[in-house]
Amino acid sequence: MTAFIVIPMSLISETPLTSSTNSILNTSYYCSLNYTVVEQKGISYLLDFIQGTGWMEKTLAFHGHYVTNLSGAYNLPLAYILTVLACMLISLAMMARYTSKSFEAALLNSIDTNFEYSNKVFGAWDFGLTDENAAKLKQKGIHYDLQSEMMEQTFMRTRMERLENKCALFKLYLVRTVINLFIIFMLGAAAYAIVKVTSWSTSYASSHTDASGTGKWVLLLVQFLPSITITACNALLPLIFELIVELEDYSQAFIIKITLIRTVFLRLASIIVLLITLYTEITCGPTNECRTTVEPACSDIRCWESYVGQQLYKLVVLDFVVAVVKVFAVELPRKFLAEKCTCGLIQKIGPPEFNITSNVLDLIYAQCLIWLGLLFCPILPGMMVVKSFIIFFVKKLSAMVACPPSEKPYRASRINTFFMIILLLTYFLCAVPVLYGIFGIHPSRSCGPFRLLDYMNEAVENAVEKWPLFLSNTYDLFTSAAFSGTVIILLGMIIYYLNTMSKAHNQRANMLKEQLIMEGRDKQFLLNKLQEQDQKSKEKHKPSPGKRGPQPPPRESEKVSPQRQNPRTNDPDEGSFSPPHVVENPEW
Amino acid sequence: MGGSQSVFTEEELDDYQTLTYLSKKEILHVFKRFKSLAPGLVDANKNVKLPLSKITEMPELKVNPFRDQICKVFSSSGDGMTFEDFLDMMSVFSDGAPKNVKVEYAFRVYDFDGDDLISDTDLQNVIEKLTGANQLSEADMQQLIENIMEEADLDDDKTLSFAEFEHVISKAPDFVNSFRFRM
Repeated sequence: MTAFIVIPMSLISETPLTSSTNSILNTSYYCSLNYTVVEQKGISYLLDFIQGTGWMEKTLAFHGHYVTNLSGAYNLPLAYILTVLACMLISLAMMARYTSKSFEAALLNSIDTNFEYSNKVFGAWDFGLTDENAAKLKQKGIHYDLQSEMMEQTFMRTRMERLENKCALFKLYLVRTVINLFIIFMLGAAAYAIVKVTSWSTSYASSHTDASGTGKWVLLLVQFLPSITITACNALLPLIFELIVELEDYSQAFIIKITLIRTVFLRLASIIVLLITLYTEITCGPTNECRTTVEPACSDIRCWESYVGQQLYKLVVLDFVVAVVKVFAVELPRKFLAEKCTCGLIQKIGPPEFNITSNVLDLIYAQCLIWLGLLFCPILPGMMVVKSFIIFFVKKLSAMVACPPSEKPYRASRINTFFMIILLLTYFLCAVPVLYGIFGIHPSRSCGPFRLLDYMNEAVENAVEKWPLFLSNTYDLFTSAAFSGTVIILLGMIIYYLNTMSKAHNQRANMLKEQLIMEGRDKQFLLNKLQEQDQKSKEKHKPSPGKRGPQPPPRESEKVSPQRQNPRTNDPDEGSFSPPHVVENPEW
Repeated sequence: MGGSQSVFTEEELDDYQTLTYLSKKEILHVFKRFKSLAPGLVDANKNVKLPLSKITEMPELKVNPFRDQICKVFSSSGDGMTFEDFLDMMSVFSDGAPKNVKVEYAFRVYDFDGDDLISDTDLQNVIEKLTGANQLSEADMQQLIENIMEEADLDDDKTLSFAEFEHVISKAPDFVNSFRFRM
């Protein structure tokens, strides 16, 4: 991103637009002159940096600054659009690869759910542990794991008994419906609040662009109000979800899943609502020839791309500030209080817990903002790198210092797949506005590298037209509706075919598993018969003192003294343990 | 390395290397660790048999709930370990030991009463040692044992033979990684 857009823009000088006979060029020139930004000195400098308004708006940070014509052959609009599309595609490729790998791993692990409890007991201890505290923690973890599994089993059993009663079943379904409706209502209320706040904030900001003194601080607060609302909703509602879900009488594993799904819905909903609000603001009412919205019906936005970029910029800044403040101002004091103070209330709240799922959702949310902001605020990825760097160390501080080690073991493999699916879902959600912004909305005449075009994708089309005829025709063919439709149908059929194959393979695997168990039983039956025969014939011929039942494994052969045999050549087929050697293995 | 190398002849080191799953360097490292448990005694006689109380002071064994059983399994005479017993133990717990060897020794470690079958009481011992200070309730314990027997005991004789144990453990994804000492 930086390489293809920011650097050329900052290095290559702009050839000035002069009036010419081309009317679009003229309009654009006139509108660009009109596009002024109020710049103030003093404390406004810092405030503007944080909000992305004022002097920031005209810098490299936002879409509006970039121009259409750089001296030389570098086609900036084309580079801009191609870089954005390339970033999105690369993200998609990386995510698809990671998800498929983790799917594979999850699938391989799930085949062995036959031996869940045995593995939990026999494979639990890590023999390489040397630290006493780590060992104690591991023991606590094992205890918690086993206990919760047993509790879950008891719960499922008693639930079966409880729900025999039809009346109780009906009551439970009623409770669940009510709770789900309540949650939908809460999500709706949060969405409404965000919409109201965003539109009020925009109208206030545009009517008070020249505030001074305390007015400036009020303006700052108002500018950030949408972001603050979203963050507050994201923090409060999951707590309510957690409290309510107790009433719904689900199993423990399902509780975790459903709380997660609801939290994800909440976060996605807040972003969707913000986008819709911005869209209505941008496209409201009649636009003048500069393609800006005019008062009094709509708020005055001179350059909608930069405006959207500013909103996203503010969200990113706020996200960063909240994360850092949360660790330093909430978690660390909580830890100190829990240690020093022994009064009941503090002890009840307890020290902070490092909640993995909510942190991962934070990361997904931040990534979503980046994808949205790619088109409108080119320095956002660079900012994100710096922000991630700092947040990593802050969260490390939180995990290592502020929160005590968790006694609940965390099953990484199962939940990783779920998070990757959510990330993919978020990606597609973010791709829609970006693609619509490229293909569906008219760019402003006064700013941005696309100011001379009707739609942003025309930059690509203009460039393609300059190619030789053959390539240009091929390009037209590939992007035509007929071709895309055919490709989509073909892909659909391939998916259907692969799905059928995978179902068939699953069936085959199950069949083979059953056969294996049958083999074991057959073998056992035959061995028993053999043993009976053996004993009968022995009793007939020679009364011998009873043979010691199962044969001990050859212990003598394992010693390390130089005289004994080589353990490395202890071929597994020779020992008394392998099933194929029927005669030598009475114990199996 | 220079000091301990003179303790063993080249022949002895070669023999040890063929008989265990360790390289020469690792064997010398193991000797260093053995010596550090009781330097005076080992200096005097390198084939001395150290009592089990000294062996269990090794860091990995000290925190391991199965330490007594491990020592019992690897000790040739029952009341102490010589260097060769110790080398045997480190060899089985090393990265080079193949899975079937580890499985065999794991079976012996988990078989507390030494009758080559893992019975209910053996399982109960294992679980108690695993959970340490916080114990499961009696009902939970019984239920867990029942679950394990249901999963693993294919011939319904209420005990796990070595073959059944191997069938279960070889499917465990992390068994090889967790059943080792880090050198």
